[in-house]
Amino acid sequence: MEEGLHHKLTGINSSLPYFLPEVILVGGIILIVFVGLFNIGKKELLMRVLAAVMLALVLYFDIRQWLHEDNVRQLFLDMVTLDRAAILWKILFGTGGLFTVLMGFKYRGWYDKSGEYYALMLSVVFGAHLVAMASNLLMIFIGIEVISISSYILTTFSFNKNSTEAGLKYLLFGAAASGVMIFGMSWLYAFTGSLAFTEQSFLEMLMKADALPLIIASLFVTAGLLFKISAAPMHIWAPDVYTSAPTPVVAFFSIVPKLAGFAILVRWMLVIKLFGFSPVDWAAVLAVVAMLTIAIGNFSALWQNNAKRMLAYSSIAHSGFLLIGLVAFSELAIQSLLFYAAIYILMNVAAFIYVSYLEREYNIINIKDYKGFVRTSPLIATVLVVIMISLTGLPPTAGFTAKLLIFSALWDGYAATDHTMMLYLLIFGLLNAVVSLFYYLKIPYFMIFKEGAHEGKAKKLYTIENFLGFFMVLALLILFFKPDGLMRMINSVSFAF
Amino acid sequence: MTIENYFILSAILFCIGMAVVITRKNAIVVLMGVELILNAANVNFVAISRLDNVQIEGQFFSLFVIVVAAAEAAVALAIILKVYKYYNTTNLNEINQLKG
Repeated sequence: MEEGLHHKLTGINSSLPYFLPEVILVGGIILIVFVGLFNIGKKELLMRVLAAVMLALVLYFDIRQWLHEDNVRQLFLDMVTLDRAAILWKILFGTGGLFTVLMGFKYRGWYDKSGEYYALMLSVVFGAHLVAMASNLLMIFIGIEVISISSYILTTFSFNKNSTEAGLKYLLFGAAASGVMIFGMSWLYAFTGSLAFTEQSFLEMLMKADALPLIIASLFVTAGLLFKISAAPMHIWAPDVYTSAPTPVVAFFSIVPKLAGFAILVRWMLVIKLFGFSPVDWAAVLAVVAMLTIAIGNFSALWQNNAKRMLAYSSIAHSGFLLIGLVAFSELAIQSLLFYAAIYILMNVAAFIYVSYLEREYNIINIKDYKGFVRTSPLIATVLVVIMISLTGLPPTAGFTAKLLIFSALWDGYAATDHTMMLYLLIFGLLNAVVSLFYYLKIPYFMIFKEGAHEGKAKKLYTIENFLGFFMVLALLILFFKPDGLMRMINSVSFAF
Repeated sequence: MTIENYFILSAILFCIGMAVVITRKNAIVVLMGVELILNAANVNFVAISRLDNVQIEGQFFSLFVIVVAAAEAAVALAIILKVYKYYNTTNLNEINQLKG
């Protein structure tokens, strides 16, 4: 007994050094909540700097892990697995979090709430870190719940009627989805007698399980995970939340929680496919989900007048495109998914930065307000055009490279397995890329070809937001011409196929 | 009592919970339905954990579920309170300012 306890305690102790980014995140959350208790002048700025420093530290230690960890490590008595893929996801979450924190919290009347705001942001990033490394069903559950509960509160941070309504809807849907998910997990536990889902014995027991209960249980768990990435039948919360939450929060939601969902889905699919012996044809299921997601996202975005709403629907469509990587599901496909995810962070954050910047400085909210903007500020207009081209997936931007990679991975998957659903998905996805052209290019069209009332009152350009945005656009262009750096990084990640 | 009885109990709890979530219009009652779903999972976890005397992972899982459910309920009630302030109702049919 004592021997076992000693063994466990040393196991926990020796795992801590590899858990540094997460420890810093928790410390940061506590620090920010504590400092937030005091009534200081310039509170929002102080909080923002604190949160940014914390996230920069997290990012630094994530990158250090990337440089120094070459082998897979089981930490905390096999609760979490630290491998290259997890570290890469963690770097992405850290970057996404840092970008959104730098966007700030611009609700002047609510500056005294900024402490909670940044603390909740950090806790979402923390949850995402846990989810990326999870190798135990309990860890998935805790990670997902840390993300969800913080997101429910963040949704209501506009402090108005609409945002509380969106928060309530999100919460009820989310709670029901996670309830269904853990009910499915309890069945999987019944089949296998173990929660460590990456272990060999878990897979072997699952293969022995009866087909029907296994199908139900695995669909339940997968549905709970698909909810997080706002995939089609489970996407109903997304438009409401995306329209009424504060803009930085929306940018954040479309990146960190969503990509956390993808991080765990990749790991989860490896297990639940049972090396192709699964009674469910996952490629077909996910292909249908992906098609629905892309179609709903795109066709709803077509009818939107509000720029933020349009971006919200477009981010649903992008989850559909990311799902393509899971449908093809080969080493190449997952690598393209990671590449797409990295590019998606850059272009989505950049788009949200400029939409919120224009909303605040020029009071441009609807798409038709963009009329003639190119004459007011040619520089910002150009940058916006590049972002929109990248979101559509046209050269010369990295958005094109990402779409090309993911579609060619799908084609390879089709060639290898001869699965007709993949072919349908490929055709459907390509057609939808054309549809998305119409709404993305509406903004450049209005800016350049329409006369408008925005003549000559350019506001100051030198803000943190603008620097961040320019940097991202530059990155988008550079990654089109020289994607090999990022590609090499992603290629060094190996998945257990 | 065999383990099947627990599974049947948990299945019944899950179905009741799901029915409540889908049919009821009051936000608080919907939350109670979610609570039932979570407890259905808990019954399963604890029952299965009986077969495995060494690890008792299932019991730990249900402990965590209870803790998380409490946190979720706290947040939910706070948001419902806010909603009630704006709408003067907790009927989900009347809380419909946002259209998809």
